[in-house]
Amino acid sequence: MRNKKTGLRTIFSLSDKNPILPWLFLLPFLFFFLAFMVYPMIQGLYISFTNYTLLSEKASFVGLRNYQNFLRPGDLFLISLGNTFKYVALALPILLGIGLLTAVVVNAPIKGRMLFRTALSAPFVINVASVALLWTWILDREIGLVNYYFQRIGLPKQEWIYHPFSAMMVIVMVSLWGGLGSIMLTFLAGLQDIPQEFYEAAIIDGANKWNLFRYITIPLLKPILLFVGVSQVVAGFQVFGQVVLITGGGPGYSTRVAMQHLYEVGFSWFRLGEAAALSWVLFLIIMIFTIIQFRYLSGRVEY
Amino acid sequence: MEGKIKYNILYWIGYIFLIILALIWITPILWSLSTSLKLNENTYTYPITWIPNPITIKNYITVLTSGRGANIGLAFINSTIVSTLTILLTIIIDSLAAYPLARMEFKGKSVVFAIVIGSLFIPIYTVLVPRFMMFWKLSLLNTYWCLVFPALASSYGVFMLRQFMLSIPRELEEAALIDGCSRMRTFWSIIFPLTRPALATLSLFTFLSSWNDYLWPLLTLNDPTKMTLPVALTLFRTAYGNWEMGTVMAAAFTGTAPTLIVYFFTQKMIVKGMLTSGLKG
Repeated sequence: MRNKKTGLRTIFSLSDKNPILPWLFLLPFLFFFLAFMVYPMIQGLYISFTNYTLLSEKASFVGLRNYQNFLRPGDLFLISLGNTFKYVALALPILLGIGLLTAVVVNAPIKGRMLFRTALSAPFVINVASVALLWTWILDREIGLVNYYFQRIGLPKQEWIYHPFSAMMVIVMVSLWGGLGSIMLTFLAGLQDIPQEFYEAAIIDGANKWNLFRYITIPLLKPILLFVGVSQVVAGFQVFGQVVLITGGGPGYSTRVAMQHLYEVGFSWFRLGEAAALSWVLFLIIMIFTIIQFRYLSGRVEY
Repeated sequence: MEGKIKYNILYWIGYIFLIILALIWITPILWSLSTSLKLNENTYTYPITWIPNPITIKNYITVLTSGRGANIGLAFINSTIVSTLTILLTIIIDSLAAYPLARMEFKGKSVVFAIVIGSLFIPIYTVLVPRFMMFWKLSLLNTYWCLVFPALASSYGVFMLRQFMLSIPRELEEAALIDGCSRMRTFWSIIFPLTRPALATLSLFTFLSSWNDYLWPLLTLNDPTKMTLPVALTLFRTAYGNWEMGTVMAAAFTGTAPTLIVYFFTQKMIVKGMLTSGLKG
């Protein structure tokens, strides 16, 4: 049996015999992780059952009332959630489709492919405030570049952000413009990871381009497709900057999204209990989506 | 022969599609850049001109010195400080945490790793309200720390560095351990330097997310002297009219120039980084 003194020395020593040495390495990270991730999550769940506001110190337990509020017909939350679904349903196929298409094309041995790669992916490093400034300028109804060229070729001026449908499409297109880079580059990395021998063997067996894509590229890209799909759904439910800064949720409530609603409930109206409940509802919805995606897509994935 | 012609046609259709797409993609950037180099009174004249006449940097001088709406020069400094602090601390903390997860056997390792992976999928909004309350109670709103600390709770770097460390040959550090080096020594003098490529990628991604973050700074910074660029830019815009788009675009470019420049020099690294983040292994 060791005496107490050497025990302490072992604990603080950095030798391999120290049983808690791995935890010393992990300590700084775990501190921040527990303090700013785990604790807030639990705290948030608790707050969601109270009527906490920033304005009054006293908060009392209200049970499920915050959650029940969301189910009122015509509640702004339901409208915002509906718009978020609409946004994700529009954006996801467009982002994944064009992302995969461009990745395949810039992966092929074509002239100037680095140039194309750079041009298509550059916008993804631009911050959302600048993105919004650029696009509101380009799409300005009166002096914008797009409407200028529309008129030059004899088309009528478009309303863009002032019409419910085109406003939603503007948000989707701006997300595509900004997001294509990361999606394309992720697919590209996945494509370059596929062993060339697979293709060579199939070509010897007489496969054509489409067969190569359908029976080699797609199945081997499945883990990446799943990863990009899941992260785009998660990102889609968090869409905020583009909406708030370009359409402001308008016209009317036609592009108001869930995050904007959460932001206003929590930080314009300071109803923090309700906002916390909102974030948990959103979280559960995302969880369900993620599980469904894993179920249906991960069938025969080999890592 | 017929197949070859068909392939050629497909090739050219694809090529033309790509050229058009690439042009559409860079148009907003080029047009705004052009606008930012025009005198404000030349930004709304018909017909439009792509090459400014005269070319002027007056707008950029206004942006950096006037302070009307928001002080963009100061915001630039704030963004630089916050990004630098975040990158440095992330690198140290995450590589320390990644090391035992890659190289040591201990009780609870698989639990810690599972939590690290799981938290990658937690969306920011689940912790938005409680985090805000925390920083409010700690009186840390409107400080650099309320932007830096939450970034350090992200497990992305730990995961990515652990994956990279697994690929470093064990023999390198075993030799040192047999020679009597402590784990800490081995880590700092052998593993840490070898992790450099992954650390560079992590720094890059940390820089981009820190520099570009909008929602959290919007919540926690309302003191104009503490604002980072994305928040300052939106405030800046409110003070300018539609007839001053040259100045507004100059502000937008000032905010995005560092990320664009860094991007052009590190493209290859970004593609590789996507690979490691793409759930490999």
